[in-house]
Amino acid sequence: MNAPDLLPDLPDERLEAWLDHALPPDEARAVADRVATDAAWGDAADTALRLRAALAAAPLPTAPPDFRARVFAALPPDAQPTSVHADRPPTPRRRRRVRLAAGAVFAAVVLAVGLYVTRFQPEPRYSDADVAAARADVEWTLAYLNRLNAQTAAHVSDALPPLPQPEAAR
Amino acid sequence: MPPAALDTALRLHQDRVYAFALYLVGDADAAADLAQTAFVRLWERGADVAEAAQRAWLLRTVRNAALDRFRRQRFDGTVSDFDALEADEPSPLDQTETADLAAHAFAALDTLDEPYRSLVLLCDVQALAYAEAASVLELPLNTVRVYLHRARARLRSAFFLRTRERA
Repeated sequence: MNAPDLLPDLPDERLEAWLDHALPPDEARAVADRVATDAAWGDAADTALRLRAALAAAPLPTAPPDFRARVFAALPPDAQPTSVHADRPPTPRRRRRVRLAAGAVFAAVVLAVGLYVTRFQPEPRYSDADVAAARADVEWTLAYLNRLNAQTAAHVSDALPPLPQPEAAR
Repeated sequence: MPPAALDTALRLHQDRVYAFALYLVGDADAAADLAQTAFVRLWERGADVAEAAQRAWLLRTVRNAALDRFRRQRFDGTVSDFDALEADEPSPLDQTETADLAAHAFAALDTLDEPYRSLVLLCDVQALAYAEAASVLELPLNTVRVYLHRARARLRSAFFLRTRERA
């Protein structure tokens, strides 16, 4: 005895249920076979998928810009918000102003921090050992310069012709 | 509900609620009216509506208000049926010049009755989970699944006919 045909001759709601994965496995297999082998079912499945795609791609109209204000205007005075335009989307001009203001605030903060760092920086504190080492460096440098000076003076005086003697000395 | 809480709800849900209203009634002014009504009612209900349930609650309120509007207009003789209401109004898609395929899809969607139309809008256009759509439409989850499959099957037939006519 053959298994009973689960499907009628023409595509019906079961095709939609199959596309929704809402059929039990045996019934889903039967529909899948029919879609694969029967041209009418194949066309119907194709149409259904195109239709779903077309509906899903439809644009969602947006509410008019004054809709929010309109709703609040229909309410009693005690139900009014503090600002009806608080959440309005920023216009290009408003966005530019916000950016400029943000830039000015940022520049002011950078300037203030710079001033603080340069003008109010505390005096550095050195240890005694640092001071002694620095003093030793300075003394060594001075001694070196003195010695260099003496040597240079000796070389220079050797290289120069003898100075003319004053008349009285002759 | 404090103004700040309503403000948050507006920021989170106003576009989705407005879009749903616009898809339902096809007219920008009417859609804004319906969405406004939903938010004012949310404010009136205050803490009765949990924050996590606000979106579904708002969508449900918009849909009920839209259905009331259709009934009232039919009763007044303002319009004879749903299609007549939409016939001379530009759809959201006309305004945004979307692809031909999407235009056909939405034209096919207009042929569906309620709640099938709302179901497709909620699940396939707004990508809501079935459970949330069930909450919006106040239907059991299994019923939503069955209705949605039925709605999609009908939509597919209408879409197929439209695209075949074009071809």
